[in-house]
Amino acid sequence: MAGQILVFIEHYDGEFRAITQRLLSIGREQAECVDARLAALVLGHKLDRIVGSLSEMNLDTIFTVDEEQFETYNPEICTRVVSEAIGQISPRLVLFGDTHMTREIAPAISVALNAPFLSGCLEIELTATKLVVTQPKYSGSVFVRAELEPVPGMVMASVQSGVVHPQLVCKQLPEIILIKAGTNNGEPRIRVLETTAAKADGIDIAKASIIVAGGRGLKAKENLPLIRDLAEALGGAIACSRPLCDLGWLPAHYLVGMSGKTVSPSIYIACGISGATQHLAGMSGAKCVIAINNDASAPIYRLADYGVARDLLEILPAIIKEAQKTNT
Amino acid sequence: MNEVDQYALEEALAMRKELGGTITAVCVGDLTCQEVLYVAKAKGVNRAIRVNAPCANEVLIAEALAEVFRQLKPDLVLAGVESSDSMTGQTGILLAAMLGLPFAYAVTAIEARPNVGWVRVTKELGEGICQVLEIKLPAVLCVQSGIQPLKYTPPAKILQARKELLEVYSVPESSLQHSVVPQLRFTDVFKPQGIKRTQMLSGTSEDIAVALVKKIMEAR
Ligand SMILES: Cc1cc2nc3c(=O)[nH]c(=O)nc-3n(C[C@H](O)[C@H](O)[C@H](O)COP(=O)(O)OP(=O)(O)OC[C@H]3O[C@@H](n4cnc5c(N)ncnc54)[C@H](O)[C@@H]3O)c2cc1C
Repeated sequence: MAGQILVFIEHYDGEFRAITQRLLSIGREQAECVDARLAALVLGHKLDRIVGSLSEMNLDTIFTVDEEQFETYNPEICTRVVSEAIGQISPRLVLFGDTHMTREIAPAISVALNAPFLSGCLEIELTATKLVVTQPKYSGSVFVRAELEPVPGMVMASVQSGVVHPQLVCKQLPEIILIKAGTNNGEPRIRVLETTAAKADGIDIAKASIIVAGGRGLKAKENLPLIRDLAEALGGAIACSRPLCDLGWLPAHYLVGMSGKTVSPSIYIACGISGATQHLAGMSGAKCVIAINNDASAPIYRLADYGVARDLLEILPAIIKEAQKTNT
Repeated sequence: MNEVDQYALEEALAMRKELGGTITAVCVGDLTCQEVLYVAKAKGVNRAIRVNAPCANEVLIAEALAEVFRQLKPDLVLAGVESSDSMTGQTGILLAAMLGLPFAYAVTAIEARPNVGWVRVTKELGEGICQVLEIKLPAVLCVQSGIQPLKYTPPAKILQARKELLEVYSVPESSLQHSVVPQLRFTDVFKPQGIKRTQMLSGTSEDIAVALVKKIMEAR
């Protein structure tokens, strides 16, 4: 097939987003399958450090758009400039991470470039004639495999976090090409006032080696002590899935997943959490996962080392008691 | 009704309470989706419109919505961040792009004042990062869960709403542009494979507790 596979690189505060390694390794794998070159596109300002790190990631080309106006992310400007850049580069396949930013701008880029966008892929396989993807449906309870054949001139896809492939061994130094952003004549319709990272009140769950996380299966705020007591008995920290923050039971810095923290503790105990892909994105790096969920078919069990398919209201008190006994 | 759409609707109701105006609930699909519109009616929307159009994928849905919204000319469009069935998370932004409107995704707060023409929006960027923007109206905002507390809808109100007539707009296939419709062919639907081999613990609660705490002590 030849041509190029382009990976869109996201970064914040000088650091790559968590998905970057996975994207680049998938990109390299696919590039080898179809004999294409692997390129990255990165937008921002003062990109030396990011470009330096990217240079060690076995890329053929790095395209940069490095201007002061991109210091902070603005969805309107970013959509326009990334569309123009991708249009110029004209790759066969563009890979994005399935992140908030991608979800915000990629559908609009696909309209601008008239290129189909396959979102939230778990796997992706490009051959000379077709593109095969695996995507979750129905909250991740089923997966579908779908084919795009023939592959149009340009396709875009976003990839969910998941298995991180082995480190990319650097075989060559990439060519670095600076792209200049075109000017926009229209009146801006979006003004960015501030961009901030959530502040924790002293607790950083990402540092805990044992995490007891609660989900909607806890049913009522009154049941929060069940995860608190277990965490305390085990010397760990508590965390939660999104509904508990939405309901105001716990503040946002306890949230694990795509919107919140990425954690990789030794032990992650998920109580009443279904295992939506957005939650798994934040905890799939845990060494030992224990799931307590009375639905034995819940997706969380895909990732669990140990499972307890019982009512948590009934089983957690027994586990707390046992943990307290063992620890005293 | 899709969970995040419930949040979008709840936010619309809250905005109307503060600012006035009218809310129109719009849903693309065949007769089966009317139930969702009855719920919206029961929650208090002013108008409910079913768009009779092909809805095989997000691009077609967005195109049909764009057709209708060109006629409705709303000041603000609220959508959910993703549907729980197809999970593509694209419809709202596709719609904005097709209409040429500014947009924001994963919105968790909207501040509007009468006659200003701009709204102030707080949204998530993932990994705990938030952004505050001002967006010129009309705009499309994809609302994230948690923006408002969800309110209970009494079944009696839904029964009442079912008696009302819904508006139907038809968008024939021929008037859609099929701009970037991915010609995806689904070849397989399957139950996800386990990534790890799970050992399920069973027995009495005490048996399970003893076994589990032992595993925890080994793993830490
Ligand atoms: C853009 C985007 C970003 C998101 N970011 C995040 C994120 O960062 N983190 C996150 O968590 N989610 C996130 N979500 C939401 C995610 O899609 C799910 O909706 C959410 O994770 C579900 O949380 P849950 O598992 O607690 O609830 P549910 O999916 O409702 O699951 C509850 C589980 O509890 C079990 N249960 C019920 N009763 C009991 C009982 N008595 N005993 C034992 N088990 C019981 C049920 O079987 C069920 O599996 C995001 C979604 C989007 C679209």
